[in-house]
Order: sequence, then C-alpha cells, then structure tokens
Amino acid sequence: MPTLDSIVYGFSIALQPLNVLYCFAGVVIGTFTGVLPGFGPTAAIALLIPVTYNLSSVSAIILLSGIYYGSMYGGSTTSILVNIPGESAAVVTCLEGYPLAKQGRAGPALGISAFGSLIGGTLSIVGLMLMAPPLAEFALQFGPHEFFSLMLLGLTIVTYVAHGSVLKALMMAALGLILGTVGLDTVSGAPRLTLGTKYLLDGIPLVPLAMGLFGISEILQNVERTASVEVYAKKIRNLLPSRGDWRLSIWPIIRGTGIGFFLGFVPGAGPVIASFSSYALEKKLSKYPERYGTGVIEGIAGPETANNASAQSAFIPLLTLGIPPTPALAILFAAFIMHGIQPGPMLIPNNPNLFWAVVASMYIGNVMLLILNLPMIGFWVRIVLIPYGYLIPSILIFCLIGAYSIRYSMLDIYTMLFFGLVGYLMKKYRYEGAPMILAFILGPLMERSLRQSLIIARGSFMPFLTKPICVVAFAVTALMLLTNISSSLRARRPSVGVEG
Amino acid sequence: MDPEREEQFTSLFLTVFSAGICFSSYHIGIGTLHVPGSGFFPFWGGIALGLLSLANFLVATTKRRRAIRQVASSRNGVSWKNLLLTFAFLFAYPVVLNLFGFPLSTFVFFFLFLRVIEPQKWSIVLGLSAAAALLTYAVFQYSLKVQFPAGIFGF
Repeated sequence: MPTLDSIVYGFSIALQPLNVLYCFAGVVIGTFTGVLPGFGPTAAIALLIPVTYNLSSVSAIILLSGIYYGSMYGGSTTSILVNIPGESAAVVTCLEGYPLAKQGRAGPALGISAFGSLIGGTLSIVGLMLMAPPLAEFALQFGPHEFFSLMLLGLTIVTYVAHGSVLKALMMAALGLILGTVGLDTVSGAPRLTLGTKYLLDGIPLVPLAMGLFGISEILQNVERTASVEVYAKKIRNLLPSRGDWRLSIWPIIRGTGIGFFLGFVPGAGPVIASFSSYALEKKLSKYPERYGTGVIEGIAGPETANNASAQSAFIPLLTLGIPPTPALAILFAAFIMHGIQPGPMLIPNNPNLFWAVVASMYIGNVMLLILNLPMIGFWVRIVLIPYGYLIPSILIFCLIGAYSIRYSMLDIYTMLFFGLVGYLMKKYRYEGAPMILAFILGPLMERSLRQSLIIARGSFMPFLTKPICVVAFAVTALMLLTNISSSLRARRPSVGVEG
Repeated sequence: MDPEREEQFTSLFLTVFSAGICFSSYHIGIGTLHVPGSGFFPFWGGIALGLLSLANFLVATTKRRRAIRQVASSRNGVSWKNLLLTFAFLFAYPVVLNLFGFPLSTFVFFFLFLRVIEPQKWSIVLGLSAAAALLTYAVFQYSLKVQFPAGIFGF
C-alpha cells in the first residue's frame, strides 16, 4: 500500500520547477494533439521521444505521459465544435456534443466534458496509486510462463478491438512479432533477418518505425486530400455547467469513472472501448434513450469521463507488468527503455522516485488540463482553424529531424520513410498498425519468455496448462479468438478501434 | 487493378514474405523444443503469418466481396500528385541536408511544400519558409542541441 510519505515524496519531485514545466509542456502538446484531427498521441509521443534524450528520465516520462492523457482532453473540443473527433477516443462525443453545439450549448458540453475528465482522471490516478504497488509485488511471483501467457492475451485483445478484419489484425500481429526478432539474438548472439547489413544488427529502430507507421502515414493521408473545417460555435459562452446539467451528469460521471478505470488496464481495450462502453451503458440506463443523438449531456459526461479514467489506469499494466495496453503506451514503453528503465514488477522497487513523481505529475497535469481546456478554449478553437497546409511541413520537419537526431543517422530517416510508406499502404488496404507495433514491442519479451519457459520445462508445454494464471490467460485468449473468428465470419462485428 | 485482386495481392505478398522468413529462420537454426534456437521464434511467426495470409486470401476470394468494394470507394478522390511529390521531397531532404545544411534545406522544403503541395501566395510562401527555417534551426540547434551536417556553406 502506498504511504503518505511516498505520495509526498512524489510531489516533492513533480513540483520541482523544471518538472512542472515539462508536465505543462506535455499536457499542452497532448491537448494540441487531441485537437488536431488525424494526429494521435501515438505519433506525438513517437515524435517527441528524440527530444527527451537530453532530459532526466523522470522529466522525460512526465512529459510523454502528459501527452498521452492530455490528448484525451483535447479530443472532445473538435468533436463538440466541429463534429470531427480530434482523437479516436472522442468519436462518441460527436454524437451528442455537436447537436448540443448546434443548440447553442457548446459551453456546457465543453464544460461537463472537462469537469468529467478531471473527476474521472483524478479518481483513476487514486486507483492507480492504490493498485500498482500491490500488483507489482504480486507480479514478482510471475515466471516466464505467466508473462508469455499474459502477453499473448494482450496481443489477442488488441486484435479483438481492432477495426475490420480479425484475420488482418492477426496478420499484423504476426508481422510485428517477426519484425521484433530482426537483429542479434540476445541469447546466442547470432544475427537474424538482417539482410546482411550492419545497420539492422541492433534491430529495427523503434522510434523511426513508430514515427513512420503512425506519424508519416497520417500526414500522407492528410496530404492526399484537403478538407476545409467549419467550426460551428465560434462564440462559446456559459462554460460552467448549470445545476441541472450537473444533476443529469453526476451518475454518468461516476459510472464512466468505473468503466474507464477497469477497461483501461485491460490490455487492448483502452480509451476508445471505454468511451463506447460508457455511452452504450448510459443510453441503456436512460429514461429517454430515443433522445440520444439529439444532444444529451449525459452522453458526453459518461464517455469523456471514461476515456480519461482509462487513460490513467492504462498505466497500471505498463508500470507493474511491463505490458503496454495501447499503441501509444507501447511507444512510451520504448521511451522507458531508452532512458534505461525497464517497466515491470521491478520498476517501483528500483525507481520509486520515477513512479511516484509520474503519479504526482498526473494530478498536477489534470488540474492544468482543466485550466487549459476551459478558460483557454478559444485558443484551441483557433488552432483548429489553422490551415492544415501550414502544419504539415512543420510536422514533417519534426519527424525528419526527430528520426535523424536519435543516432545522427540518415539511415534512420530512410527507415522512418520506408515505414511511413508501409503504414500508408496498410491504411489504404485496411491493415492496422496497432497490433503490429504492440507485437513488435512485446515480441522480444515474448520470445525470451517462451524460450525460457521451454528450457525450464525441458521442452514441455505442460506448465502452460497447469499454472493457474496461464490457464486463465489461455482460456480467455482462446475464447476471444473463437468469438472473434465466428463473429467475423458472420461479419457483424462492431467496428471500434484502439487509438492510434 | 480491381479491389478483389488488390486484396488477393496483399495476402499473397505476405504469404511469400512469410515463406522467406521461414526459409531464413530455418537456416539460422530452429533448434528443438528443449533448446529453441535463434530461428525458433521467427520461424513460427512466419508460419503463423503465412497461414493467416492464406486464410485471408481465401476469404477475400470467396466471401468478402462486399467489404472489399467499400475499401475501393475509400480510394476515390486521392491526389496522387500531392502524395508522390510529398514523398519525393521527403526522400530528397536527407540528401539536401547533407549538401546544404539545415537552414537552407529546411527553407527549400517549406518553400516547395507551400508552393507546390498547398499553393499559397508568394509573400506567404517566402515569409513562412524563412520564419520556419530560422525558428526550427533555433529550436533544434540551440535548444535541443541537435548536431546537423554543416553542408557546403558551413552552417
């Protein structure tokens, strides 16, 4: 259990001026990312990893975490005002937010969204703080069998929640696992799939790969067609929700917190599933479900709370088990590794300063986000109005220099561009990047766990069928694959996706 | 190429790719279940990818025609000129960066982008390109301490 001392210790680090500054920078960039349609937190975190090289590990993780949860706040702004979700977790907010804006109630819609986000986010951090240390302690008992089973489950869940074809999602997961093996084998030292080049001996560099797959490909999609944005509510008044709004929203906010928190730490579920689940629940519980879609404030309060709650609790599997539940956190996982920190059960005992400082910074960041998203809403509206043509070359230069600055290698730029092209083609043919990047990151860990498991058990798979955690993980994995395939054959699977 | 063929083509491409992975992994050494070799994991990854790709090929051929047509419609209205030019600028940038250094190559990149991809007025193009080149140079060089190739002009 966390002690008061640990929390105070965390705040003492997070409140250092430089860390406050990086937290602020993170949530501002996160909000910006959320506001910009077609540019998600995964790409933003990948882009900014090189920038954090000169920072301390604590400051770097505070900054990058801020981008992740900050993007959840920003996404609702464009959903409500423009009817374009800035971020995939805010798709459902369009359904009620834009009709409310058309009725002249954009202010309360934005207000309840921001307050719900603050409440959900903050309560979820409390949950993270209470759950992470005991879970990490419990995870210390896990062996390679358990880790392999859990990672396999995580990958399966990602394919389960992917858009469109399950087969294609599984194909991308398999491709990610293969790409993750490129380079020197850590056990034998033998080069694998390097095409005879020295460049690939260290493996495919993650940051250029992620920047290409999520950043460059997004930009290319935006370049191929130009769309004008029309902001509905140019003058936004009454940002503070009325007493009536609060009365209608308070239970959706509480329920949204619960849904978001629990779905957040399920690998693969993430903020998108949390927001959709909350919306579905609110509609089901409503006395007037037929009014949903015409501008019901509860339909914003629940999902917006849920996606922020899940954004915070998603850190639990990352920090305690070393399993990133979403693509954006997979990139954050890479940032931890680059700063010499291994996420997993040993993170809290080995780096208590980092863990508690990041947790404390989340409280601070959530308060900053409320200020950024209410009094400064006009500023974000103006951001939406900036022609995309001006932003695209700036983002591209950031990508190019970001990829170059990691190792001062021009080859890293070409790697990024290659995966940008691959990512673009994947989007065109509806192959998803999320299962691929998660598999790419989890692949080496899975391989190590599997090989260790087989060596320990002298080639036997029996421990996977006898250890309780493995049995449960395999049973859930099998169940998900079966339901996935059967619903895919019937072609009735709902199309919701993990955030990119 | 019609959409059904495109779907079949991507599946077949990945099947061939997976066969290549399996072949390479086999040569690296799969090992045994008691002592898995370096090629063990990529080999089975390749097998999985190959089987899934074949399954997708069959699905695309027999059952999923409606879904594939939807994919085709998403490709309408694509500006291939913009796309190809953007790629050309992106691939040329590292070469120009090595030759002329950061400020000049970044100015040219912005200039071309704002003039060719998203055509703007000359004054806006020149002003924005110069401002962007100088601003990004200041941020990367002085704030983030990124070391750029000097180029023939020495900066």
